[in-house]
Amino acid sequence: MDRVIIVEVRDRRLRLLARQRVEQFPVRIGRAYDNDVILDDRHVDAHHAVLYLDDDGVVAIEDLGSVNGIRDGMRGALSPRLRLASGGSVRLGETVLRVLDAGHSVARAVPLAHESRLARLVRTPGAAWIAIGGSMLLSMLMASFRLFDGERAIAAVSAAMLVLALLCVWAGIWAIVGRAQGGRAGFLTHLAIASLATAAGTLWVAATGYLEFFWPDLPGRSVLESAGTCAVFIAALSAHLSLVSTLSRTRRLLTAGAVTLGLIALVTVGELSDRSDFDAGLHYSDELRPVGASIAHTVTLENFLSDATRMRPELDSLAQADNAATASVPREHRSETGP
Amino acid sequence: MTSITSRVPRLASALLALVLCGAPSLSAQELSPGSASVFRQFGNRVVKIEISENGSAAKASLGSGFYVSPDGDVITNYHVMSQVVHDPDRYDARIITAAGDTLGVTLLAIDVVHDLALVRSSAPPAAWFTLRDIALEQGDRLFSLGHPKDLGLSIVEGTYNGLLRHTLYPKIHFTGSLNPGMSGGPTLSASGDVAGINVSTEGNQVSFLVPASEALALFERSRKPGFAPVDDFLAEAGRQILAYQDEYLDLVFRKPIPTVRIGRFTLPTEPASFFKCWADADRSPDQPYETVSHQCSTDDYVYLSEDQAAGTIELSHEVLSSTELGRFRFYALYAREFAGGDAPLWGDKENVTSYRCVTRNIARKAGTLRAAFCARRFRRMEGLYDVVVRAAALARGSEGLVTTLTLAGVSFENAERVTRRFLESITWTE
Repeated sequence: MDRVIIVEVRDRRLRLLARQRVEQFPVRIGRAYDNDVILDDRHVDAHHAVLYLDDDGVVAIEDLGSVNGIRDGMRGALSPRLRLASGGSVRLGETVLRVLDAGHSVARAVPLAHESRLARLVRTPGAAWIAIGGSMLLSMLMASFRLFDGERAIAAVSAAMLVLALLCVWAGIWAIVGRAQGGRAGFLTHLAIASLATAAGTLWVAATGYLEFFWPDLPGRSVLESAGTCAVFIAALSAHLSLVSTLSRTRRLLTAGAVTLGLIALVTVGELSDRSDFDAGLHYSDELRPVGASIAHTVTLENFLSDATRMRPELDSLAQADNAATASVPREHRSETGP
Repeated sequence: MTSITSRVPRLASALLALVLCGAPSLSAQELSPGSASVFRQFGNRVVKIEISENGSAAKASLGSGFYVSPDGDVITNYHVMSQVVHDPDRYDARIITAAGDTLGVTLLAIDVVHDLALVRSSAPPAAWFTLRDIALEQGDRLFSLGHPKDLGLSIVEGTYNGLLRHTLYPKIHFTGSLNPGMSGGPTLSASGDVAGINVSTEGNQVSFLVPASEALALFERSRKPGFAPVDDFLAEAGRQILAYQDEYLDLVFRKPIPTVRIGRFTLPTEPASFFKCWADADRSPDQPYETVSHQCSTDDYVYLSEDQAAGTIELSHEVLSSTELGRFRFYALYAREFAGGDAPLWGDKENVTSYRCVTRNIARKAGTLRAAFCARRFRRMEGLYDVVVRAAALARGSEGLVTTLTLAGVSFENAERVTRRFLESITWTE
């Protein structure tokens, strides 16, 4: 019978060590060099097991009286004989064999150009850990600047831990989505992407704080600030999406952009509905920075006062608008201020 | 420490209009034979003024007043009438005479700066006071009449203790117990002349009167040919504040502002005699920095409503220093202090707009300041603004200054003028 199967040899962490095409049965498996599939594992016998086609034509494996036996899957029970469907696996010693029909279906290819650069940056576990660790260090550093009393180290660490916990929840959701899409969970990569985005956001806020300190009257500064934050968010979303979908780069960016816009709209609507037209607070640019005061953009006292005078017409029209709004409300509906 | 951080009644002494929310008992006054005769002779010239909201039958607040002409002219405090001034559609005033008659009230004129109002009752009185200037000496016996806590017309005996010095305009220091509800009532000399009008108290027999000469001026103004009550009394109050303010701000800035040295900073202090100043330091051993604060504010203000005052000026300096904190941490602390907490002036949307602010780094010969100028307008009084200026010194080293200038109810021009003087007078050594 012309049955063709593929035997994958994987280590205990399921990393692929070898793939072997099998066209003839039975197939002898063991450490000895006279086997058809030779395993480099000291817990495997010289002649450990044999693969064969049983009477029903199903691939099966039989233990040849080995020291450690064979197990169903990674952690299954010991068994002298097992039947293996395509994609099924069996463990010998510390080696896992996965058996696949040559016609076993595989996932669609992910086009090379579609992989997010950010995701590629943290693809290896080493890079991912560096990203996560770096981001946590940055969180701790930023928190420690803002603490002025004892127990500073503990407070800084707990601030970073809180950030990490939130990022883990975020990465966990993406990992579940990734798994549900039939791919890898990739929790560590998602966590690294989220950490990088957080660090970038933190640095951006710090940088714009400096900009605000240097140049409080720079036109369009707040637009620049929000644009940077949105860009970081879009890049992160796009990187997450590249891991859980096969969307092209353009479509991914469009999706992330749409989600960001949606969030902005949601926040804006929330603020508008929540906002009363009156606010008794002072909202001024309160950034003070330890370096660079000598190169900050300055004006003369006279210019400051003439800039201040320019708000006067605005306040006057605000007062008129407020009065008009109150006049149009029936008296019964005005807020009660009586005793 | 007193500061203008909150609603008006906490600013200084309590005003005497009674907002009704339960009336505790009043201790019996010990009266000399003189007061019995004053009460008998002049009691029928004093009235009770009740303010009520249209919708509710019960009164919202009450004060006192007294007849000054055979036509039914009554002098009282502006603050007794302020609800009617602010919302004439919603509040009504009525007079209850000594005989128990209830009469209607028309507002004729106000003097918001001296907290006086002139109203006319719908029927002429049986008896009235004739206002005139009288000379008093410290220790003179005075008799105050009014309706304390709605317990009926009462008389309080006390002494004249001269004019106050720490106020924007002259006020009589009356040693006697004035109580809420007596606002607007007359304080008489032994001869039965009006010496002053009951206005406020700080408790423990420390009470204040508006001199009768101010009431006379207001009354005479209403007697001039061609006089007619204005349409909008609130706008009139705004105009009066603006006119008055030019005068007193001139007093503040006629001379160079005195300065005080804190650390390496030289800072403006006590700009005029009607300011009061305090200083304090916080050197707690468990915090790695020190703060020294210095504040000056006017002890007095012009009452506009329960929620709004004008004419207050406050300077507040805070010098921060640390030998323990590194530069980055010190500046994080410094920025936190500069950001400040709540806005120093209370306000609600009925009375003021939201604030608008301008922030700049200001280069001066004496060093660079980062300053924010924030202003909001009185909604119904054209030309009046609340202004808060907050500045931080961009100085070297781990020593910083956060300073705040608060101006309530000023014109924009005056705000600008005061801000310039204030910021010019801040210097330090590098």
